[in-house]
Amino acid sequence: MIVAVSVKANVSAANVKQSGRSQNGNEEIAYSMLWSGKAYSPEEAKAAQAAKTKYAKAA
Amino acid sequence: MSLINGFNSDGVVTINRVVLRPEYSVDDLEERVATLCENVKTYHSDTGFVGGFVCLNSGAVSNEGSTIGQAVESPMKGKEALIVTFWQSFEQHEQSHRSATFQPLFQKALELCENGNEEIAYSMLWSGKAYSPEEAKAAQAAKTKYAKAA
Repeated sequence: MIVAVSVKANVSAANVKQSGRSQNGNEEIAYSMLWSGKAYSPEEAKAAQAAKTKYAKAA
Repeated sequence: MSLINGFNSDGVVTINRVVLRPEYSVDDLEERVATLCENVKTYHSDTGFVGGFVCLNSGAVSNEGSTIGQAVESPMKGKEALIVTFWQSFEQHEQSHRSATFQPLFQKALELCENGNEEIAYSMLWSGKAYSPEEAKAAQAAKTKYAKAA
């Protein structure tokens, strides 16, 4: 999966006026997705924390 | 329609920009960041963490989307990653960094960084997902209809 993210280029203020539009022109770089995830539900979070505690003691 | 379920409109997006040291690989990054993310997910899902993703510079620069000159392959291909996380508030994010279990894992992740670490918090202005095929057809039809009426 490719994610397109616009990243501000490092352009000095002197160059800004030439474009007359945005400060940095625009540079669109494509990124590959490595990982994504969402938070646990309250119940899942409690279970995960309990598991951490349990196995931390066992280690 | 929100792209990220459960993300409040006044939430905060933090972006860590990581440039890998030459002696480390993307596998090293994935392992250390995954360990860090697992800690955050476990201990901060109930204190403000909403979700996140990690992406890697693919090397492709869009010619169609760039206006600063002819795009060539990014020199940061395979060595620059963005770690993007979503939080209900900036204060909750800051609190997560103070966690005793988080700090050692964070330091391990920082070892990989050539650039130190830059973590900037952004306010969410807009997010959204694509239309379904049916919604897209309806939207296109509406555009056509009202373009003729104008």
